[in-house]
Amino acid sequence: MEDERQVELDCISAIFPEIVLDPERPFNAAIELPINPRNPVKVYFPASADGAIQTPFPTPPHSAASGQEEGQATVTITNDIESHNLSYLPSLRLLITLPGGYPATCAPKFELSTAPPWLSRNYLDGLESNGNQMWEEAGRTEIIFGYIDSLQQEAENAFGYGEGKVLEIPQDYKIALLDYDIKATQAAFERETFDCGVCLDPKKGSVCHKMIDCGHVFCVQCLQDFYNNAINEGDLVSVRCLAPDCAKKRADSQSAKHRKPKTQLSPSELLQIPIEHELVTRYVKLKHKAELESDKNTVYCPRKWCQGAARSKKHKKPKGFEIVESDDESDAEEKENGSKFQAGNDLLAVCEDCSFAFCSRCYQGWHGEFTLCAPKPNGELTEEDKASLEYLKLHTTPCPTCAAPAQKTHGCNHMICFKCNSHFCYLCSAWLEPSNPYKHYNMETTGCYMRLWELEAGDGDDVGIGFGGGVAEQPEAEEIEIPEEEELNLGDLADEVIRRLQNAGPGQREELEDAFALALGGGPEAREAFAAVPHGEPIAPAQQELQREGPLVLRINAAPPPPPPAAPAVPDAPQPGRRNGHPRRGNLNHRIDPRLAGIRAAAPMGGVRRAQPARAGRRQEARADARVGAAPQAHGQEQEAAHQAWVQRFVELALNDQEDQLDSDDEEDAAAWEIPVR
Amino acid sequence: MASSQKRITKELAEVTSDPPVGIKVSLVDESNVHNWNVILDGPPDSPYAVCLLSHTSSSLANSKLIQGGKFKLLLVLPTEYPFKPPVINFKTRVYHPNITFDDKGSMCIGILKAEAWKPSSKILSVLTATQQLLSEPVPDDALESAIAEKFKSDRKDFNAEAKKYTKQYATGK
Repeated sequence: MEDERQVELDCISAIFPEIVLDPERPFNAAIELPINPRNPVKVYFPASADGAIQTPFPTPPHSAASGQEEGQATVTITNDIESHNLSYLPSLRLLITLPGGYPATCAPKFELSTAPPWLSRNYLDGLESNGNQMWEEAGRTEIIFGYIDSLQQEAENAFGYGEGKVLEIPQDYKIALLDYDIKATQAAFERETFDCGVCLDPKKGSVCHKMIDCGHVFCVQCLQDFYNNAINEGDLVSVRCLAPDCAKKRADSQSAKHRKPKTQLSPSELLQIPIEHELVTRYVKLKHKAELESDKNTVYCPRKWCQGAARSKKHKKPKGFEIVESDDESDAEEKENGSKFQAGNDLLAVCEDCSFAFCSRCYQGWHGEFTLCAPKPNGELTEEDKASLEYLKLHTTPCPTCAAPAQKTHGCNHMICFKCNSHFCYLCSAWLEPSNPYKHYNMETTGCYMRLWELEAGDGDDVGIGFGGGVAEQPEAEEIEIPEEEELNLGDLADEVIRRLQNAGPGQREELEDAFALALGGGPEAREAFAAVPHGEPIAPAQQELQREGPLVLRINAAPPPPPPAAPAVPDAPQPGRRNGHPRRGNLNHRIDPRLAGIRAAAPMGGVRRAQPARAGRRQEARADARVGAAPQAHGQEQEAAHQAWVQRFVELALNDQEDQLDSDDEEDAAAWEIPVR
Repeated sequence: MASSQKRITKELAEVTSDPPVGIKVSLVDESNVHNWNVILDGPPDSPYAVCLLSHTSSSLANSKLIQGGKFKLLLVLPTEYPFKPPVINFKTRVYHPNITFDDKGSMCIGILKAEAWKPSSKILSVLTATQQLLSEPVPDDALESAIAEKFKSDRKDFNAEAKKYTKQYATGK
């Protein structure tokens, strides 16, 4: 007759194929029982193995950080004890020895162990003796299956530790336990199958990636395709979870706490996917660059071959793959400090790339705190730079918030800035209310009434019909300067016109107005405009004539329209900015005189001054317009005089124009009110 | 872009084998999966449905006699799909605050905005969002302000107008 023990072991091997029978010693078997409790087990790791408190301080934060990077265990630190929630614990090893008299007379021998020993020896001994007890209670029969089953049931709730009992493990075993948990979680993930939401194919977990923050799963292939493309194109905003609404929902839930919710992926997660090192480096660099560019206080190295940003405490240059997030608090602090005058402190800038120390005001080598800044040399722009700037002028509209130029490739004129997410109008650069951006196109008072779909095919020679850009000027950050010489030239001539008109007696004045009107090539209409030139002291011209706002689109590619009489155009000057607080005198240019576009195009560009300091208010912008208008031209003397007269009028109007729409911050700046007299 | 075609084929199979109520989809050209013809039934509870016996049967009008207008749409999937959103236009004129009343039939729905589009958004959700827009216009976010104004101030008149245009244009031809 066959040995009863052999029959039982054969049965058990059929039920648990993972059981290992010892080939050398018959009736000896070993089985590993995995421990994957229903609820994660809270495990405490006291600060030191012997329980003695070595340090009164909390566990150093690095251990907490490492736990978070692994993303598997959540960590909390209370006093000197840190705890992790573990889903998997090292398996329980059971050695079974069936002696000769089993099952009738001899009890089976069970030996339990764990590696590392996270269950205490006493507890394991208790479990072992349970086995013998079961054998007795069952009437001394085959008990192995029943025993293994009972152990598995116990393991379901981690031997009671899954339900509130505190499991304390010495620090020595911490790494091993955490490692086991991570590996087991990963293995379980790899065995699963997921439907990738992008390619819609079912994929094995081993070729999938689970998003650390939100837990959505996509296949590695799709993630690589998408993120590689996004990083190559510089579309940083897209480097986020690909599930619909995912980032948005988190943004909504976080918005109460953070102003800028972090929905983008971290470089370390990108590496995990894996995305190539080279691309992750590019991602980190681009993020840093975008941060610098969105900060108007950034100054750039004046060395042409370098152009690096000056070192800044707020946006540290990334080292390796870490991204230093700038926090808003430091922003506020800086503002407070900024109000106190610190000689030289704010002028010295050191390039973070080439370590060149320079003055942030005059962009020359550092000259010390007590030396006046020398006049700025006029840098020459290369042909390529000029062409780029020209293109930007013609085919982009700057964001009203951060001045980043945007080019429309297709669709409606409701734009969202790729950099700062402001909503704005492509035609006039007006800021639009995010909750109802289309209102702008539905109100007859705006210049963009019913023009939402204008330029639907896009803007630019290469993307669709040409469009004169919503705003004529360069964004503040890259203001173009015309060399000093021409500026003076304009100032002199235009001033002359005004001065003569003002100083003239009643009779003389009329004569002069006639003369200027003639010079402008206009008739009585032109004269009317001059009548607005104040007698004696400059005062605001008739405001009601300025109420219309909104530019007309200037189609550069179309045949140039016959030049309209210059003078009547001036009172027509629209008044953008009334609704959005961002006056755009550039619009006036388009509206008023298409010739000016030609002049602007012909204007030699001086050095490009980057990063206008905040104090450069509207006055400066207005002046820039003036300079631009003052560019030399091929027309005769008369026409030039006409232009200059017009420009002067325009400057004056632009300045007065601001008078009634001045924001509170401008009121402090008296300079913004002055009419520039040179 | 082989992967894009594969995914589109899958989505097409899904939509044609188990079509959602009131949405019919077919390819413009069988050899090109990127252009879809969509026929959208006007939702029965909206003015975009027409009553077949409109004059005679106010009391008899039950659901059988009400039939949705047939609105034709063109759905174009870019080669970069699903990384880039699909483009969808009404080919049938619609009197609706959020759809331009011209031959373009453009509309603005959030899911199609480039910055809101996620590669795992599906065509089906675009189509149901469009259907939803017919049921529930969003007059505060209007493309056609005159229509929106009417929708807000004189719903009866708006419904009449919408019905009139539905009868005139949304015949499915």
